[in-house]
Amino acid sequence: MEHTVARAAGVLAAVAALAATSACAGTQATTTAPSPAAPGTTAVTGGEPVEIAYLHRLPDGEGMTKVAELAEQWNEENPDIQVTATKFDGRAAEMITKIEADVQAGTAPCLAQAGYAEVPSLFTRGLLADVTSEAAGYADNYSAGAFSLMTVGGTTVGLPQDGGPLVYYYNAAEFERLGLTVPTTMTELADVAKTAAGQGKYVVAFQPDEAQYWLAAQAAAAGGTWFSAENDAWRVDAAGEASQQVAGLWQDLLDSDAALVEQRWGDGFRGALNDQSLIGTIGAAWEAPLLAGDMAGTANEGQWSVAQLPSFGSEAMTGPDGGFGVVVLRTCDHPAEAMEFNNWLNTQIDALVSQGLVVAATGPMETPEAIRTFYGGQDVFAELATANENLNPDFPYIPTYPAIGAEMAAAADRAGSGQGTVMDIFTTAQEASVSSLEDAGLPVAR
Amino acid sequence: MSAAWGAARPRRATVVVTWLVLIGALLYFLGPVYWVVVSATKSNQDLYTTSGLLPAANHIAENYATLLAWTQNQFWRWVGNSVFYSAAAGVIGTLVSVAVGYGLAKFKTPGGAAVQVAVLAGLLFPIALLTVPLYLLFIQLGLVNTPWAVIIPSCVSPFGVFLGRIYVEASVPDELLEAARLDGASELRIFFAVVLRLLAPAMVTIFLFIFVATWNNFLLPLMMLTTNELKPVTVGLYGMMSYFNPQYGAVLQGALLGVLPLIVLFLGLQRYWQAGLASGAVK
Repeated sequence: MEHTVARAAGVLAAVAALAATSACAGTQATTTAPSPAAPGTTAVTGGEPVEIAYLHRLPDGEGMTKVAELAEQWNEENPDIQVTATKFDGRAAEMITKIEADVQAGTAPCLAQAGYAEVPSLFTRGLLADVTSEAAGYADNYSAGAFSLMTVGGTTVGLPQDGGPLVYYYNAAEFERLGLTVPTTMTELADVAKTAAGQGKYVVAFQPDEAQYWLAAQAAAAGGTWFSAENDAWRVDAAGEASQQVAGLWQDLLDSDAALVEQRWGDGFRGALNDQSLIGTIGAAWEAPLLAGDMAGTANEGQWSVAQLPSFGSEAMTGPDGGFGVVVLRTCDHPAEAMEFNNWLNTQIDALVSQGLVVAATGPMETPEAIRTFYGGQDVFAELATANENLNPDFPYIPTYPAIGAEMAAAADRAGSGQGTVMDIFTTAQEASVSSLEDAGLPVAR
Repeated sequence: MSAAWGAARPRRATVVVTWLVLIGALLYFLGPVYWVVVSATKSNQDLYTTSGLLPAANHIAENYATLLAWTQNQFWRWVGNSVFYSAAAGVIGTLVSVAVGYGLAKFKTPGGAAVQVAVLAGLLFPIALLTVPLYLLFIQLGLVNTPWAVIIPSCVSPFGVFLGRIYVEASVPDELLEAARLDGASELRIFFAVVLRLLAPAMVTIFLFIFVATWNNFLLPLMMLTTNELKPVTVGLYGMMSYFNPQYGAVLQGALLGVLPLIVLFLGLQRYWQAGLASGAVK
């Protein structure tokens, strides 16, 4: 008996802790609204406002328009739909883990930020709501290419927020000094690169660590579609004609030593930019502030410019390299109201630009002053907006695409060091895509 | 003569080697700290362009202002949260660990061996693996997004129980317990008045262990807490590491200021710890 007492005393503190929690339990934020309004109706019958929770990973940094402030503004203008915005501090993968658990427990927010490449995977796992009919009315507000990335096999699951169309960045002052013209086609790019290499400069860099999305985007720019749904099965075409064209360009550049080979996120890349041996690069729209940051305080200030990606195919087209949208989760009780806010949020162009986004919504973006200064006074965001509109409108990813990145990067490493070919990267993508789909039990069309 | 001569030489060599090893260890441990101190004073641009080991233009004040702006003036609150969660988990967890360890070591109950095996198995289980199941459990309990969601799981320390049991076996003689029982002390009184005193050094060790583990546990608060005011400093600072325009100098300053409570705690508690180790050695 005494022994039992002693043990009980030991866990007394824990029990007390549990007992004390009952007082706190009431303060937990509720994510589902008590309103009985039927989904699809905006008018709330009971007078009780619809509550929408929104989980995001935007920076919310110094000098930016905070997402919470945007939500406040919306809440004032829309007393019937009250939005709570919460910032998630971890990585995208950690946020997906949380969302998955939340959906399982029925406590998930209505809206959540999700990368374009993750959307098909989330959809396949049954975490997303079908908002095709709600989204249809808002489609015209967005770049068609970005909008299509929020659609999986004909089902729209949210709205796009940020876009990463490939563009061409170059040091205009150095181009002029060397008598180079800005390339507008693939052939011109190869010629300019070889001329520049003769003078000890590189106008493009081959970035093995970015291979997965960067090269896929180039294949998209060449008019390719890697993945398509056919009779409820995935058709994989990652090594087709468009990819072969891209491989041909880079193989030529690598073989003639006309491209710098550096990891994008290594010090060598930044070093080459800063000592001006690298004076041009193909990069996503989100590179604009990053490149400016990499080169801040060097002679490069004010010298750089942004141009459209040289056309890889028959027409002016570019491909998506990164970016994200806002999806509606399956357990959302009020998808129509959630989408109403979703559309409003994603068309708040100035506020989103202040968060460092190149918005997927169509409409004029004001170039932030620091960016304008770095790029010699150019209206950079107007150029990026054009690229957004030129996105390949049909380049969806497969649910398992995030899983094959390491294999593609390894193949790209081998290509960069001459131990393999650029085409190997695409055949690797093809094989890894098919096998990852099969491993996940998803049907593949032959 | 020759023996003395022979003995003196290795002694001098030993001294030199010891010094070299100690200096090496000092550099190894303090080098990164020095790097953080230097980097916390730099602007983003200087972080890229100047040597990591040399100070550049002083940006302490700017970085501090940026830190407060990015954290929306929550930085010190987050540090306070971290201290509170870690201290609460440390105190409760230490008591639980020592009590369970004492029970396992001194009271022979049916199933005691199975409990010990279960505790040891728990020792091998990475806490990160348990985070999602815990999260689902706490959603059902309605405790998500409250401090308890971080404190309660952190109180459970298989290692603490294990250490508690070992220490009790080594430093609490059965004779002492029997003497106390003969004097008519209740089991509760024996535990609190006799056993806990003998276990002070073990408790400091377990407390520090749980405190640091709670402080460093990132995934648990990341999952459990969403309210800005409840975040610990680790999660809050991580939110500043955004893809767009991250302010590294400010983040590093935050990391530096954020560990100050830990440093104070270790310096403050280390003498209890040393006393405990020494008394054990003499015995």
